[in-house]
Amino acid sequence: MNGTAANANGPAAICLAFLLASGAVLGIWRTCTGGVPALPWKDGFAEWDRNAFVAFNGLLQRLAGRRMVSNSKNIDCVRLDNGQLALGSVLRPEGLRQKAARDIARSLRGVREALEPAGTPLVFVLCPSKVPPGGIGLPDGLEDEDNVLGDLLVAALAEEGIECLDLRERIAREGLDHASLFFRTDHHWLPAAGLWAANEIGAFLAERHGLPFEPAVTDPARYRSRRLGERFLGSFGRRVGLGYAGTEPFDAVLPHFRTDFVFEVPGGAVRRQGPFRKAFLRIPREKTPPWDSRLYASYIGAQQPVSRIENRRGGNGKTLCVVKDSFAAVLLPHLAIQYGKIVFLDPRVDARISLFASIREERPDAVLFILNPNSLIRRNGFFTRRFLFPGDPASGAGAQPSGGGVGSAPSPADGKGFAVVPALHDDSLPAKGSP
Amino acid sequence: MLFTSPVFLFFFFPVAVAAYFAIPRRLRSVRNAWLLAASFFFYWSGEPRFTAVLAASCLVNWAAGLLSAPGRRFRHVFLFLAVASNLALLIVYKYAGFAAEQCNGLFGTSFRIPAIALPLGISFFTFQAMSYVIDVHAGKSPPRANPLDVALYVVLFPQLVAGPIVRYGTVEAEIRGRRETWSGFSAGLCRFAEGFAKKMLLANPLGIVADSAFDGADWILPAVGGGGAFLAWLGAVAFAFQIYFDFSGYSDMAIGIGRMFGFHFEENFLHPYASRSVSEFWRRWHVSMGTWFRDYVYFPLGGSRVRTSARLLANLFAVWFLTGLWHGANWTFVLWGLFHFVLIAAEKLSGTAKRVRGPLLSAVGWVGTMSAVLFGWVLFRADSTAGAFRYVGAMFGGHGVPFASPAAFLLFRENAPLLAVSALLSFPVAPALARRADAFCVSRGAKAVRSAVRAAWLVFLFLASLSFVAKGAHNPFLYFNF
Repeated sequence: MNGTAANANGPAAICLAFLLASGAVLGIWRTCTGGVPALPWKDGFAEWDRNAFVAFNGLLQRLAGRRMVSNSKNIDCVRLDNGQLALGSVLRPEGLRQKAARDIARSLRGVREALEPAGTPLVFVLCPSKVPPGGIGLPDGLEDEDNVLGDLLVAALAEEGIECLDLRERIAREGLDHASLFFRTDHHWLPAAGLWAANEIGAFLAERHGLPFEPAVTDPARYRSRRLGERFLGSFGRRVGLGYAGTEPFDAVLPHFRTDFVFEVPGGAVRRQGPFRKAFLRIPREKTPPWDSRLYASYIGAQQPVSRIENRRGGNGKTLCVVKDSFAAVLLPHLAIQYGKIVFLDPRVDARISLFASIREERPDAVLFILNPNSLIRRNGFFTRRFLFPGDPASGAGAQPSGGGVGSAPSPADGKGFAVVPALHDDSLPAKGSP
Repeated sequence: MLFTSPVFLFFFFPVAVAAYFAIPRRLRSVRNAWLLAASFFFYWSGEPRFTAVLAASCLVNWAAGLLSAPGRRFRHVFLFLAVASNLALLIVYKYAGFAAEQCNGLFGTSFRIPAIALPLGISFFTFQAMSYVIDVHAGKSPPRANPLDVALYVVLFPQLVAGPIVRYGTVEAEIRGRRETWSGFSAGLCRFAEGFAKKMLLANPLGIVADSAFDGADWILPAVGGGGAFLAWLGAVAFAFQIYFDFSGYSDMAIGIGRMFGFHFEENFLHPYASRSVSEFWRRWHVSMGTWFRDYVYFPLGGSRVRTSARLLANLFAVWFLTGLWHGANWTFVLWGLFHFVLIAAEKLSGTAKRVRGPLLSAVGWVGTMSAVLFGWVLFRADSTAGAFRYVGAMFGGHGVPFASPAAFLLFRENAPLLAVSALLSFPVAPALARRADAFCVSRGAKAVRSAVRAAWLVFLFLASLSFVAKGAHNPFLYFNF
């Protein structure tokens, strides 16, 4: 090229060319040396680069004073007045919430009616949303969608005769500080809150259904808190990056008494046996960057459709079947201390799994749906689109989700819908105690 | 392949540039062949199915250029055939479905509505190809004997999929005789970075605001949401900035890349939101398309040098109907074009555009022009004409829409800095500041400091833009749809 270097754009062009060229060289080198399995530029960046840029992006958003960080108009991370991060969105139609609440309640009525002959109770446990009831702390203009949906759902469940344990109401009744139950950088609750919730659920099932409950077992005084590092960056903190959210401590809560569990994921993917910590906790290495640590998932993981916990010390000898979302990750291990066995299903991971296959196999003493309002409508739509609505055209079936009719329910293996309804009409559903 | 995608930024672009400059300058044909191959790869990576269509278009227009040059027999016939084949390509891929739908609706016919995918950039490359044949036929440019030269003009990757619509005469000499210089390369790369930043830092975030208002248009109605008239105005303004910074950002990137390779494309945007009349707006907005229609449609029809006002109106109508239709097979685009026809016809017949003098009239002219442009963008952005009218109604509180809502104010508060920067950059502020800096920095040391500051600023903008790419943020290119 001709021309002189003495032009105003020269230094800038050199810097920009260096950035582009070094990105290209790095990408080619990584690919050639097999450092990454695919072209690093195929889906954007190698993981480290991406996280560094996301951290920088978070810093820019923070400096710009933004309280809503959006990837699109539908997914927003919102900073509450107290600095905590939550989910939020603008302009959600009211009608959609009401329909979702009604549909979920109707579907659960079908489940309850199917369980009635066996005398198996069904309880819906509503976990609290990160946003306190009333939307306290949300920027003015954002609606408290989770709690509004939660309220609608509690009312709809009552109409359909479904038992509901509203943990939000328990938090208020016990005067707990809502914010102290949650991570600062994530919408999930703390392991200590999971222990508290396990206690509440155990007490509820004992009071209403006579399932044995020993309060001393979940007495927080018998547990020790162990800090697993100051490196937790929540799932939505990861999305907005280190520069926006920073890190926070992750304190695991461990029983200070003898325990013995088997935790397994059917299919042989995972089988761990031993005391609480050995069976449940898989802690990422110290050197793992905070954005990749996934410390929250170190409690029994979060990405398996079906899992099972067996309490080898016996517990109360009862079996629970639980449909759960990520909020159950830090709750179920503590609940398992009380019970003999817990089988849990996560339809977010695989909508083809069958609740009733598990019921037939395990013959539970109670079926619980432990979910937070966020899972019900916004994030995956699994409840509304696939999980409980086999009558929805999207699921490929035409039957109404009611326990009454048999109709043209889909096959459990058709891969289109979570097979609640077909199994509802399966005569082989055994009564508890039958051989 | 988007200019803003990692595969372009960190693979295609550096490799294309490095290999190009690794070829000795004296081997111009080899450099051109490399650029052509890279351009076809660029297109193939996004539209593998239609790469053959693009190649065929290049060949047909190359042959048509040879056959319709002055002195050839039946050259008018070949020109007609070339233009007809280019238009046929557009009609088949872009308008066939729309035409069948309208026929079925109007005349009760039952034509099958074909589901034809729109080849990327078809509106741009067919117009460029037509420009070549028409200019050769008119004797303005000699025909190219080498088909690769014509192909390079049509397919050159910087302007292939979203313009600017480069006229053949603009780059005719540079295809064979351009000079790549360090000053041109560095200016081009900086221009690319500026366009990248416009797109990622302004257009995309404001696009989210616009989408919230437009896609949730039903929610503005009080029965459902309650976003209010304020949200409707906010969405319209946000879209006006989004489309400007999106398209002008892309044009900056295209012009910048062209400059790096020694091509000088004409400017496509000249601060259109500083216009004081609609006529002036169209001299500043999407200049390459405006001049194309002017030179190849308006002037051949007689332009404004016609005897009667009726003829003038007919000419204007033809141009603006086609301008609207060029943007897409939808009545919203046609209405948008005709809306501008009405405004420009009114200005031409009344002579108001020429009478805008002095600060007061200029201010009034600016407000009137921007209002008209804003309503035009509502037509342009809406999914349907009914939706557009409903949206405009909401802007004025129709259907009982409230004035505002907390959600609308929240969106405004969050995006106020972006809106302010966008408004500022819509005027020629940056060039004025650059001129001031040039005048101020006369000593060698001052010039070095200025260059260093500019380098730091551009690197910051580049990295900031890149952070949005890494985050996988909302990243549509609006003009890819046309």
